[in-house]
Amino acid sequence: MIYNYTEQNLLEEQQGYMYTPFGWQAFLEDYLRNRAKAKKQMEELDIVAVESLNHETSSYTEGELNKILAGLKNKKIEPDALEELENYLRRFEVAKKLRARYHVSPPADYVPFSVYPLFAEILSVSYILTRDIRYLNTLLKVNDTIISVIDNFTEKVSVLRAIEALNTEVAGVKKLANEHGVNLQ
Amino acid sequence: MIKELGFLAGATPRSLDYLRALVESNLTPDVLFLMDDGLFLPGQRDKDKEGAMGRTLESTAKDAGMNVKRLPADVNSNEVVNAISDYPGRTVIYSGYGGALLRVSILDTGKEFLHIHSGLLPDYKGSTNIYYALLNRDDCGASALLIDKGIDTGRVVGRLKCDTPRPGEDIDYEYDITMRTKLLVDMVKQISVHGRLPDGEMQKKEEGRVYYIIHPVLKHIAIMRKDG
Repeated sequence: MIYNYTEQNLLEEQQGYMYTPFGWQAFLEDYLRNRAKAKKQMEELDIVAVESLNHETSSYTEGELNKILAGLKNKKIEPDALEELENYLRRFEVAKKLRARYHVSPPADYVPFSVYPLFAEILSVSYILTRDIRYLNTLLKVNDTIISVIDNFTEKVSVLRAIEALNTEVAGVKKLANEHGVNLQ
Repeated sequence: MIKELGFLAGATPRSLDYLRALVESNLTPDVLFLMDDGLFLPGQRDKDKEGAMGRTLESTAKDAGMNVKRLPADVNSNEVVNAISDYPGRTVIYSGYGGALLRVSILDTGKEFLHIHSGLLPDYKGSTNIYYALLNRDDCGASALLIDKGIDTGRVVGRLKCDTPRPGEDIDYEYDITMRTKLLVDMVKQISVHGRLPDGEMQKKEEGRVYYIIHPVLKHIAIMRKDG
């Protein structure tokens, strides 16, 4: 059974992840191949580092996510950071996308692609700090989304974030599998 | 048959298991509100497609002497809201499609909607909690709650802890359904004996966490685990 959760553009076609089929070891092995291939593709992207210096905060959401990330750095957790992250966790899980702003009418546009690697980094750091599986769960979905539109990268900083988030995700999955006696190397 | 106990059901294997178990236990509701318009919706299997499960549910209900009202699949549609609103019973068992949330219009019909939630409340709110409980090495189980306007925040009227599923066991369509059915029968027995559900207890807002639909990779680890 193949890992087919990154085949369609997930910013256009929502993946519900409901009642997903079971494919034993072959599925997990294909998941690892999917991530290894995506990482290689990201590493080979031809994007010059200087572009990241011109990045401006794109939206209210990006500004809030940057605050959350700041609250999670240096291996300690600011209490408000996880509380605020809970809101973005819910928003992403409901729509599988993030909006530029919430509680406005008419609804704001969706955030640009560059916000998803930032969100992935936040989920990675949160998982490392808390070991709360919910963060790993959403990280898997955000990484599926990023991989599904891998050609959308325009900034080196986003590529680096995404690679780091992929590394954390795969390491987290392997560790969890190992803890439960599931062979995944 | 239990008069003025309704069953609002999507055309899913879980609804069928509920109905068969209630009928076998002489706890048959008097009406089946069957939400089915032939669409393929979350909670159905391939073989339930194109109305197949709806027809099985309908014939099972009719054989048991129940009234059957066919309604659209959307639980928040005017047709469903009106049918529930007109129903004289106080309690309605709810077994809907995956991901469907009851909105204000149906919750404001004045009925109590009895839902069997997969997961032990108040710790495990949200969805696919059995997988999370297995990965967290927590108890697996189900909770009976009366639905309110939050996500699994309603009054908890019953709980059932269960043995963990065997590695490799089908959780979505076997373990989960069996566990929830067992608790539903217990709850309806309470209605049959005492005329109402136990008072139960309100959940505190700060208790527990909301778990979102499990990613297939984590689901595989939970199913394939070798640690019990």
